[in-house]
Amino acid sequence: MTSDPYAMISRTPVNLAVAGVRVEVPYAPAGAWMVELRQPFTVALTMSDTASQDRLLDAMVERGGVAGPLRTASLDLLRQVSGRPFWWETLRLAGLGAGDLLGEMTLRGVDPWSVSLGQWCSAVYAACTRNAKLEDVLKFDAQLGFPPPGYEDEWDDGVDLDATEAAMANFAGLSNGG
Amino acid sequence: MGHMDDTSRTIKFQVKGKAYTFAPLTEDQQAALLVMPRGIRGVQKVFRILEISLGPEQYDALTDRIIDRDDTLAFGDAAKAVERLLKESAKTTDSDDE
Repeated sequence: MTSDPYAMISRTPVNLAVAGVRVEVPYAPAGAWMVELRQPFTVALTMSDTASQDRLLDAMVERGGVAGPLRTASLDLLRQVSGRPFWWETLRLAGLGAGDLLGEMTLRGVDPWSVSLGQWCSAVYAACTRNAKLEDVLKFDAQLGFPPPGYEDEWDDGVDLDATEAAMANFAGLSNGG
Repeated sequence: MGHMDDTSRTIKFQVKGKAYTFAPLTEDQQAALLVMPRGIRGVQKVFRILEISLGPEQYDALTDRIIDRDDTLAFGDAAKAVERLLKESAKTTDSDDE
């Protein structure tokens, strides 16, 4: 998966379906997201508009079967609104920006209440990698992109292992003779 | 209109001196309580959860006590009951997982 530069700067609402419930998430600045990221598994509800919240909560109260899809949709929403390739990158960059780097970001004039979540994450990334050696940038990228425990299956770096293996088998000297 | 898989499982406790029998909250209801919006929208949904858990007869009796205030049952007592119900339901859910 790759970054989506348009999503990083987008101000348009995101539309989702969660367990058959229509949900609209309007634009909100990074500051609003960072407050709700304390409970990342429910942001598709907490960041949605009032009508969507009511529909989701009514479905949860009356019929059930929403909590699981809400969790999945919330994590995917984090990826969509930030434009990062994986939701955990969004969480990690937003977390860095709300913690150790907040002072640095403030001194540089980046206000989380005036930029999108994607812009905030990009600014945090730039602050972390600017003036760093290439090997340190690569190390940072690897730490950022590595999935958290339990989510390894969601990690798709775009490499087709089967195709790679088939291509390698065609190289002379690499074939196992089968 | 509860949606319990096992309707025989119940939670019992007193609310201001009177005993009630609750159906445990579903996982979705528990999750909903943790993200309820503030204000009247949230209150309406919390009381709907209480109604489902108590069933119509017990719910009417409880809310009549709040409306009549004849035995000083206040709105806050119902909220505390939901809080306790959430904790007890979470225990039930946890033990189901074991």
